[in-house]
Amino acid sequence: MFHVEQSYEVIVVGGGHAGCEAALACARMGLNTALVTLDPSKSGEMSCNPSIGGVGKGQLVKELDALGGEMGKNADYTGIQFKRLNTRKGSAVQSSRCQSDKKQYALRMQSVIAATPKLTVVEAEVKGLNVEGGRIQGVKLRLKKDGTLASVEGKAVVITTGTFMKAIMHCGPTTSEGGRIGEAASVGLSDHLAELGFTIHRLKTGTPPRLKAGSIDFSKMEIQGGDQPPRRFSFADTKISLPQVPCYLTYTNAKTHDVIRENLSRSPLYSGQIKGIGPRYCPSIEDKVVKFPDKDRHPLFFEPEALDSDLIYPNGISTSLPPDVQEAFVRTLPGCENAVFARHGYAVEYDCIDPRQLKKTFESIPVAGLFLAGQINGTSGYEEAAIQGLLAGINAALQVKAEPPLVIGREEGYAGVLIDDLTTLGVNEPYRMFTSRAEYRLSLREDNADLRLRKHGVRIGLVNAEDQKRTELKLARLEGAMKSLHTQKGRPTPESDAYFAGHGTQPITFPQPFHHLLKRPELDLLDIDRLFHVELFGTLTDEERETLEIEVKYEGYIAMQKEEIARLHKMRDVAFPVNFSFDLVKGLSIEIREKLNRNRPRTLEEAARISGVTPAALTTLVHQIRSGGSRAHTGTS
Amino acid sequence: MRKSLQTNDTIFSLASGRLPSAVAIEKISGPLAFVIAAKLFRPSGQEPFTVTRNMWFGNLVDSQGAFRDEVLLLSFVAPHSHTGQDAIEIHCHGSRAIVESLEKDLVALGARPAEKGEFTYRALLNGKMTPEKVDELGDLFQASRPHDLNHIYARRENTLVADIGSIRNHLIRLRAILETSIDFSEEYSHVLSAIHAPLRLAKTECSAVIHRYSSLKSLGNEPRIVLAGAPNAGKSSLFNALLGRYRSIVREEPGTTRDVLEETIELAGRPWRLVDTAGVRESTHSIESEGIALAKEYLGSASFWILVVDGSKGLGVYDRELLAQFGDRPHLIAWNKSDLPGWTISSGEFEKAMRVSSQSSPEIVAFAQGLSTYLESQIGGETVVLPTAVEGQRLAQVVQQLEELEQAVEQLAPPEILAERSREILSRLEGVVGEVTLDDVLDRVFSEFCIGK
Repeated sequence: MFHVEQSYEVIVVGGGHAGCEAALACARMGLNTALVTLDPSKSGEMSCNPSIGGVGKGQLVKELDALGGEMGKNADYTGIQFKRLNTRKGSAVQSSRCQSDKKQYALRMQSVIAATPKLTVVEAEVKGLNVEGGRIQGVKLRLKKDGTLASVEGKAVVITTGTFMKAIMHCGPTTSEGGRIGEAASVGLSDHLAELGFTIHRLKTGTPPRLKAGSIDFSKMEIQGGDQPPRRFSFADTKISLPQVPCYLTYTNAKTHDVIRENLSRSPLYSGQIKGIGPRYCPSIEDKVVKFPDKDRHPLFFEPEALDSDLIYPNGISTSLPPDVQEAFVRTLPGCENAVFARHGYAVEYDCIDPRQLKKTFESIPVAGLFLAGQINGTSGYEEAAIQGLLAGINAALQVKAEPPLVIGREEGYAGVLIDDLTTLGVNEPYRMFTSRAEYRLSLREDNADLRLRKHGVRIGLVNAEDQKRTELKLARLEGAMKSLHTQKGRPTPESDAYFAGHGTQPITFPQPFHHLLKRPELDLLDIDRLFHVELFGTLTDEERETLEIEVKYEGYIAMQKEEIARLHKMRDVAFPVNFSFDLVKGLSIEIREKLNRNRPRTLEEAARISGVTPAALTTLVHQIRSGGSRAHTGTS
Repeated sequence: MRKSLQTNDTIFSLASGRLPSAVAIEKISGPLAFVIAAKLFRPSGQEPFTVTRNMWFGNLVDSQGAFRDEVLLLSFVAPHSHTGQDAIEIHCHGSRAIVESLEKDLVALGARPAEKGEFTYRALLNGKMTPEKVDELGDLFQASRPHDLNHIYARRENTLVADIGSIRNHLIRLRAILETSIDFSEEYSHVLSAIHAPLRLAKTECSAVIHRYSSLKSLGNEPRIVLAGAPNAGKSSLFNALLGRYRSIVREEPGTTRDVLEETIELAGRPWRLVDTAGVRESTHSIESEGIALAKEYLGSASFWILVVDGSKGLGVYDRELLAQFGDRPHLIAWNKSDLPGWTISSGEFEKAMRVSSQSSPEIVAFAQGLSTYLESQIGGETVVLPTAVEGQRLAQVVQQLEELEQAVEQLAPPEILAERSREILSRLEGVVGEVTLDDVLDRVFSEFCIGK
């Protein structure tokens, strides 16, 4: 028998990156919140690589920070190497990444949770969801402390169980139940979700072995240091306080590949043992060797897991080959001849739901008040999980508070791209953010994440006054500097003549607006100050100068994207009437009609996002909505 | 598209040709069609005029009731008409007076003259025609020869999407390389060289389709075959010999510019303008530069060109220069003067060379047959799929955008800018090559590049 133990306004199930953000957001928004987890000592755990950020992901962390999430701050305080990626390319796609001290990361997150008022950690396993009349009422738990069953009431529930639903780990032919080494799988939940009307599918991911640092000869590898000075993730006043350490680069070789090839039949990936779909962007080493036979080597990055840990994370050799094969091929790597394994690599297969059954608030369509976030929605990666957790938590809280939801659009942030992709396109492999998914990436940059999204964080109450002020001041400085660029002119000086001559470019012969001059690739804002004897831009921060330079140099492209965004907004305003029947719209091909019926777009914008829906079909739909929406459903024309 | 046009009023238009004519057909479409017809038409039989689908015979009267003509009237009830609305067709005698009287009354009774294409627009909106059908109809009106119908209808079976799939392929590859460099690699230097090949291929193939379009499209002017070559290579004699046998008997199209050096001939079942670049302004300046300039001027508008070479002398400096400049355009080489003693042709030297002598009828016939075969192979015979006018236009814009992209590559623009440009190109091409989704690009990224640390 279940007895009612407690009641909360929001119950968050799962203490991973999504769960921590969701729970913190709800509690910080003033709601009485429970964070239900099997093992609180694992909250905020980095189960795979010891790093935060990366191309596309760094943008997500910055956006999360702008909205008032925790990941960016946590990464700053526990980072042991920071690096800006894509610096050799254009400014718009540069991304931040850091190596984290895994232990410190989890510990700090746990202490933040412990110190947050209104947030209660409940050690328990979820046995079921209480649903009545299509609305969530709470969860059924088995409490860890005494094994008793309890029914906990909640006005909203956020499920963030990651890879744990029906999780099976594969290490060679050996399989075991569990979502992470030493941690049990969550068995009943996916069946329960299926009963409630969710479509369940199976994905796969993997992790490399962990090696003992003391057994590796790093002198045979290349040292990879971080940026000096390191740049933080958070827009708030955080500190990078841990010592900074290097990573090491080495490569596989012909011997490594031979060992892997000889033992392919023992890989659960190639024997047919694994049925789930793995991420193509993060292939196992056996996949890389098989699919790219002409590559004679693959780079591997040896990353420390924590400052006081002896563990090394060898990034690039995710594998599910049997232990003896893993040991054999690792020992062919330069510096790893005597490598000692702390743990072997393995693959995990797990259940997730079809995210097209979610609203853009992450509330599920089958069950009102039930929100889902993180890997359970078919995504991959800490950052993707965290941003979903944050937004699901925010929307759960807003719903309980009867306030309007927060939905970020694709033109507003990578967060919006993720929401839109998941809910309109679904996933067929674990979904990871790429910058190529964001069609407006020239505008959606790390440097302006606060300018884009702080206002939402302020509206929902997750951004404090100090941080709000900081963004407002930044905006004011940028606007002032932009005005100077447009109104002030540079006159030729001996310095400017010499500078342009040095670059082999045209000197200026008459006064030109700085705005115009800045478009020259060879000029930046500090050059303008120096060459034209002004003191306009030196007081800005590096990041602010970067923002201005990108905005001016990419102006034409950004303007074009803005036009596209305006069109998008127009399309978003065109909603299909509730009883709109695509079957009765004339002039649509059968194929398009089927796609529309399958995806049930709510607005014209969503219809346009469905692959195969042509501009001609959209015109037809517009016409039907505008003049014949009602006729479409009565069937005459 | 005319989104602003109203579609719920009643429009009319004279569907038949220029007046006076034997019969004139006035079409009316819209909610007032039957109301108006009831006022202007008196059926001759017992049956009263009703809202039914029918063919009627009777008297056309004006709004005062005065008799105007004996007419045939066809009535169509929505949605079973070509516009999907209530529609009336009045077949009267093709007199200006009758039609003017009728149209005046139509306006007085609440109808308005249709804009160009407005009937088709209504048909489109009411699902009576697909956009493809509308395109096809546009081309049918442009077509002037029975032969063109084959090309136009070939689209129904074999879409251009399939035909120019490889352009799509190159563009996807181009974008895949750029996206890989942004999302998955710290390297960039190799990217700029890697995108060169797909960029060039996409451009060449787009140009080829446009070329096919311009060479086959019947827009009043026939596609041109230009004879070029060194002075005294025998261009004019070849021109005259071909004309002597194959001069077109098809009437001249109005508006075609006539030039003494252009004539219409018929080859491969269709007319062509044969252009001789000999004679004009030749010999004023240095022969080479003037000749090249002249050839350039004519070759610019040429669908095909023939290099006429004096086979007794072999390939000269001038010929080589022409080949160097225009060798990538569809052409043949006429290895002329096979009647002269010094004439030789080394087989295999020029695969496009054909022997000919303007002095010999059999040689001219053989040459013309070879030329026809070549032209057929170039235009693709019966199954070739023509781009529609819209597609042709888009492809032309795309070629221009690809050229801009090439310039951006030369200026070492960052990959996200190149990617942005290639994304624009793909979206412009959406209607022609089919939609390209990010998944198409990612599929290529993951199959061609080893991603992931």
